[in-house]
Amino acid sequence: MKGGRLRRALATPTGMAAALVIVAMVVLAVIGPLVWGNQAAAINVPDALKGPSGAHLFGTDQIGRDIFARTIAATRLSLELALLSTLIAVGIGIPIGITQAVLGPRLRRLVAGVISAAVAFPGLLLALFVNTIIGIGATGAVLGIGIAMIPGFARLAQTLSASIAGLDYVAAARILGISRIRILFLHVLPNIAEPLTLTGTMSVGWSLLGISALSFLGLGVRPPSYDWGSLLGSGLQYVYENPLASLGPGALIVLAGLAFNLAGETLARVQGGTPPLARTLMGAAGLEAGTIDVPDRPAPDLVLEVDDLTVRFPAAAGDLTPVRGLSFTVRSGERIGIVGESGSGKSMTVLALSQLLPYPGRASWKSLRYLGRDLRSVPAPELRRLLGTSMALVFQDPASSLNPALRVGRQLAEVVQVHAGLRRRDAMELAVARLRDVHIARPELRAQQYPHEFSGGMRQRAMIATGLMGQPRLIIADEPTTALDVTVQRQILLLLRQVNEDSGAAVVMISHDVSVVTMLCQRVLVMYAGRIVEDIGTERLLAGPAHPYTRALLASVPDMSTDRGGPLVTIAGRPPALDALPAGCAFAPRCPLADERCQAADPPLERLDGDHLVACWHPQPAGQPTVPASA
Amino acid sequence: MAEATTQIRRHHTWLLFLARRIGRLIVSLAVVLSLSFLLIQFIPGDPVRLALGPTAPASMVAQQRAALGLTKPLGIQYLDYWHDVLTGHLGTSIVSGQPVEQIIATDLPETAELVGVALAFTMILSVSIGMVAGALTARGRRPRLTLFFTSATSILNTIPEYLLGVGLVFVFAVTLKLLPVAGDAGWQSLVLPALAIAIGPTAGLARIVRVQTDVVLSQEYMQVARAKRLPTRLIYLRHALPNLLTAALTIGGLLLGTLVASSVVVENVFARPGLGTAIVQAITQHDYPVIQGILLVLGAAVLVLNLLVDLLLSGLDPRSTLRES
Repeated sequence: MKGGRLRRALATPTGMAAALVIVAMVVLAVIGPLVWGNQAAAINVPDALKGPSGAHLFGTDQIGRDIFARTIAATRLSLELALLSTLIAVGIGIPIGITQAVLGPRLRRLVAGVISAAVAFPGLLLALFVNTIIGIGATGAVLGIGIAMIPGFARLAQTLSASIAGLDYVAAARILGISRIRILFLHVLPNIAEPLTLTGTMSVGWSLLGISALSFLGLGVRPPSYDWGSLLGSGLQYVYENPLASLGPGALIVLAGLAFNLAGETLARVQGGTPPLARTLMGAAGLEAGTIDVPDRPAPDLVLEVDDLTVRFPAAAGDLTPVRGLSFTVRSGERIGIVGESGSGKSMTVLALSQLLPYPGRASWKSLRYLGRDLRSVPAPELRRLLGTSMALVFQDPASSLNPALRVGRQLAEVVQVHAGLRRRDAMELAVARLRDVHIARPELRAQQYPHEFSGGMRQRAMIATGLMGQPRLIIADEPTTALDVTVQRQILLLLRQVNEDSGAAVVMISHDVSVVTMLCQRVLVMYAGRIVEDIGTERLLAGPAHPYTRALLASVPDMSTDRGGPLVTIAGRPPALDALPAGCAFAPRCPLADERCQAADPPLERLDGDHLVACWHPQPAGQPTVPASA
Repeated sequence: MAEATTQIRRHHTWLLFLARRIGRLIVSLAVVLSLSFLLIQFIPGDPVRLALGPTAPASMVAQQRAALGLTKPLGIQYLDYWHDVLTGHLGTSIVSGQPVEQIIATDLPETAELVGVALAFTMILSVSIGMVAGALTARGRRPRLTLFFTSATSILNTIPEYLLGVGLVFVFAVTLKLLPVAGDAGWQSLVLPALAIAIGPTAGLARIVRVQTDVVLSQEYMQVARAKRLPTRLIYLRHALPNLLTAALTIGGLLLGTLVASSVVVENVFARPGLGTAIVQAITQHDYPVIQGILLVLGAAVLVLNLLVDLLLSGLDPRSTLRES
């Protein structure tokens, strides 16, 4: 395991570079004093304070000694002192830290308090304190820096061992009566050895820098001994005449410090994985225009017309298309639900419609009209105002959709301040009025509060009120009730309905829960694997939908007549992965009615009767018992 | 009625938080004071002989020892030290005979000025650089910029302040001859030392701010802010910045101690008057009362500054006091 990681770390450019530098430093430390030692000590007063030359690469010091030779020869002492002080910090800090795991609670709190106070205290002050007591010199510097690093190691070992001690198997071992000391050596130490080794590697770098600082200040290594820090300090005295006298030793300090730090960091990084695809799917807006343009034509009663909307996420292994060729319309004042399982493309659809698709997602379409206007032809500033005032979005988790750092009233008011140019006071008055409209008691007070002072239901009301600040024509609610409890759920649904009736704004609600959608909506779009499989009125839906998937969804909703003794009905199998869609109907692998045709060809979304559209080769007539979903 | 109780409860939480923090500060200050007292006791051998040198006459050593109170029993010395410190007396320099509080009174403003400017550099630069980098590289965009930013900041963060100081002197004072190399002459002589102190923490903090920006930008409330179609300026400054500041100030507060410690070293690089040059000189001269006094003042300053940052944070983020309790 350890060997494998070392190999992987060496495979990275930084890891390789750090390893090479460390190896070179060690070689210099071994042979430096042997090869350059004599030259470094050779005094040649007539040659004093000479600049860099072929004979003296870094020039000479006050008594004519070669600074390059001295810098190389100082490698051994500099590294030795750094290693020594790291050993002191590790040898004292880690035992203090890990004994925490086996101390009684009261003693543990005391030691933890002392450690955290010491960690907050600058190490250099501690080092100066120790240095004063021990006296100026290499010993004082090593002890000073070593002791100053103890609290850090103690804290690290404490945190690590506390996390191990809290694990189930340690608790189990304790219950089994294994002694605390044995637990320490058996379970805690082996599990924290790796991170501690990494930090140990890095802290060789830190202590090298620290000891060099003390030597530089004249508080560490003293003549006739010399390390990089003291060479740097004496070189700085004639920085105008010969900058290399200080830059040379300085460069080696930086190089060594960096090498140890990078070595530790690289080792730590190779154990962490790469971010999962889920993270890359979460992102900021990105938009790509489609290919075919259609001239504007007025259609005032249509709020939204979508023709052939596709959302694509570029990925290394091939693009993912969470939404595939969606077409539907939303009429003014209409309440539409979009239902489907997680990953069916519901949220991506509305994010694409509201032009908020996360990076690196791209939306394309044949035609996308909002309030009769082709979104592509509206200039950006106007588009911002159009969408900002007339399209409202309500998201799933009211706890995270209000900004925790701003007062609620301000978050409402800014919409009209920005888009309608209202003055702050007028905007606040409007915000209070809107909060009252969504039945928040004492809106004047509430507007002055922060989101964390609101309950979940109140936050969602405030979000809806935000949408009412402009002149809403379309309210898109993405799972607005999922994070709320059942009573509050009902209140929010009633509020959405009231807002819809009062303002005439259309509502598009997304939910994975058919029963919630049927409570509010007049029409339901059923999505499966990025496509609409059924576009159906709520009454017909309740009477028995045509698509087997919709039937299965409906059958899996428990109601008052559900036998509570039996297991809950579920839909067998799982939705297809976005990167492995079947050739035919995406639902075929889970469908009890599927035949060869379903496997071979994807059914188009076609009119069944009236407004009822379905994408299925075997649409079921209304009233027929629902397809038996497996238990 | 309900609001009144909420108000009272909030007030109450805040007071409790304040009381606990001040209590912790007093305990820490007492520890620092005791350590400072013990410094002279821990010195192996005779501190006065060390300070006055092997050639000083025995009578002079005895007189100085009595003047420092070292002849009294340890307990009395400790109580005397508390009494002196609380009445503003920090002892007398063995070398110059000057009262230590007087030395500190001349040097403290210099150091405070340096640390203050460095802190301002750090906070302003790191938040703006980190936020811009975070916005440019959010959700894995521009991977090469991310790599460059991460490596550049981690290298700058590793280089210690005294080496940055030497490097800055070389570039700006020796090569470009733009700014003075050392001393204390107006704002020009403040720029390089403050930069030397600030560059490392700025790099480290900018790195954290970048990651934090990425986190904040992917929050749902940022999505909501975008859905409100606010101008980009408002989205970043009003909605993202306050949520970033909490994290930045928390780390920035922890960095204050580092800044104070760095100023000790950097003052010596640039030969600037201040507590840092004074304490290094005192250590080489074995002037123990001065060392004690400066360590006490620097230590107390760090502790008080940490408390102030905590209080500032609790004002900025109303939730942080609740988290504490």
